[in-house]
Amino acid sequence: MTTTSAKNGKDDSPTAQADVNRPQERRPKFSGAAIVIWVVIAGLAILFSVFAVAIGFSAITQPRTFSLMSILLSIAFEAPLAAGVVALIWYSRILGRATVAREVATEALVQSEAKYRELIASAPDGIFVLDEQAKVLDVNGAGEKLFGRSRGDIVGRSFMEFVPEERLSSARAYLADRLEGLRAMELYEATFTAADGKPVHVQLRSQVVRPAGEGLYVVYIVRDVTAQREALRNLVETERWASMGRLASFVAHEINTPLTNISLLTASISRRVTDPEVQERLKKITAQGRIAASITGELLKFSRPGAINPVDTNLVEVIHAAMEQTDGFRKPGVELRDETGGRPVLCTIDPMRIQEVFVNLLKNAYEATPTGRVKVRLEDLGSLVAVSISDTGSGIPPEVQARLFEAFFTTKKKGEGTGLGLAISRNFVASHGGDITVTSEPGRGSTFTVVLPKQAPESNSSA
Amino acid sequence: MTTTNASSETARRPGILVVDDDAGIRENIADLLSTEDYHVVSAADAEEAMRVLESEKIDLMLTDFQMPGRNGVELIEAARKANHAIPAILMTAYLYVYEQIDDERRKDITLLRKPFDADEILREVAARLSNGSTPKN
Repeated sequence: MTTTSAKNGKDDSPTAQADVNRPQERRPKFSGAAIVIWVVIAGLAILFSVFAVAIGFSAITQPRTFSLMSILLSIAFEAPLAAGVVALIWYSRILGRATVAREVATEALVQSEAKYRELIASAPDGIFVLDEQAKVLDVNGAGEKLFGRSRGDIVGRSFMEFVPEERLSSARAYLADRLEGLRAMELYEATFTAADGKPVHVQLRSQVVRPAGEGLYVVYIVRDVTAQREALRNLVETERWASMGRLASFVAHEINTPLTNISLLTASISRRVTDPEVQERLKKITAQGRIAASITGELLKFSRPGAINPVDTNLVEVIHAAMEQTDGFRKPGVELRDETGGRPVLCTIDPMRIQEVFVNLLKNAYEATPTGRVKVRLEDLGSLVAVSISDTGSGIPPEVQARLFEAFFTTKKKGEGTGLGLAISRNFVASHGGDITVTSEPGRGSTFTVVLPKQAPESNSSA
Repeated sequence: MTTTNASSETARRPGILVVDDDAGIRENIADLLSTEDYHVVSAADAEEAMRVLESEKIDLMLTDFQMPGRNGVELIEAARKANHAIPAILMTAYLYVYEQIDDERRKDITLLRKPFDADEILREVAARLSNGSTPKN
């Protein structure tokens, strides 16, 4: 508690503490009316005194002529003057109190306004005040942050300037409906464009305010839900893949038993008949069975990437093994350029799984390259290692690139691929804490880059 | 309990016990193995398998992993406890479940992943019969 309250003549201590940082409160100034009243009081008092002196003087110097009549006349003359002085002093006190009260009220209003301004400024949601034409009249700090623009860059412009083209008609319709008193309870979902061009997803509520005697305005209260939306999208996506994984796993396991039976029966027939034509067809059944088994195997790898088993490995050897394993897919006019360098690169990885990743990438590169070159390059980046496999093949159009690592997405002909190779590769690399990226130019070729930490993270049992 | 090639005078043919809750697998394995010179007995679960082990001369057990009641690994352990120290081959499609079992318990078990083909099973059976209790993997 400070002592300043004693000086300002106010003893309303509850607010005194809040006032310490504010300019010193002034005593109420004399208003024009008060000055006039005090001048009149002074005039009347002087008049009263002059007459009193004159009457006294006349009574002393001429006692014979100073009759009862004179006394009555004097009283009649002086009494109203005295009454007037008393009445005016009384009135001025009342007037003074009223002035003080008004000053206090004004001060309270200023404080309250500052308080509400502060509340709006510090509100976590963006608050925009618009006029009927959607021109922004005011915006708070959260609103500035939401749009990534300063107040000066928002106020005075049309709110619709921040709405992307395709959402304009919806945003205009919403404002028009609100002005007509409709959709008051709606939580309007909108998208804005921030200064950096990124979309901001928001939920918006609004209130139309019609102050007496002024034009109406609309208050938009806008909440940024971009992060929540992203989180929800990820959750849905994760759940989608998880349920697809469970389905794939179920299908693969359930098909394995009849596949085993088909294979056993085929072999059993094959041992009982000698007809070469039957034998030939039985061989075809067996071959088809193996294809089916390899598909269920892929499905299982995709649905259960499982725990990785990291061991100390020379990555260059793993790459060379993948090169050997895939050499049969390389077309005669295609050169394989090995830029892995002569030195061993020691990593703690699961060699089986990483080899499978390179086998997948090399096979894809060879398939895309009828003539030209496939290059394998290794870059030692300290704690990371980057292996890129580039080809001079057909390249990948952007719309295919976007879905490349999606499970069951394939550009190959029916029966030539399950669409799981890259999805499995990405899972394997991800379970090592790494990443696969692709750059491609249609007609000129593609580069797939695998970045792996040299030390794979501790395996977290089968996923 | 079904017995194929029950002729007792050929007792020196190796006896193989096939345990699987899938009747198709049981029959087809028995059918295939009987084209080779094996004496095959089959059982639908661990309990039936234990009764076969008590009553017949069995040289190798080929069992499914996931079955109602005791699973394949538990059956192999029960058999060994009951002094039937025979080589065992475990068939499963659920590799990840099998891999969660302690290494120690999997030590003397040969794993045959489903789906397998006739060549694989014949090769594994022949291998386990010739080298006794040392599994290939």
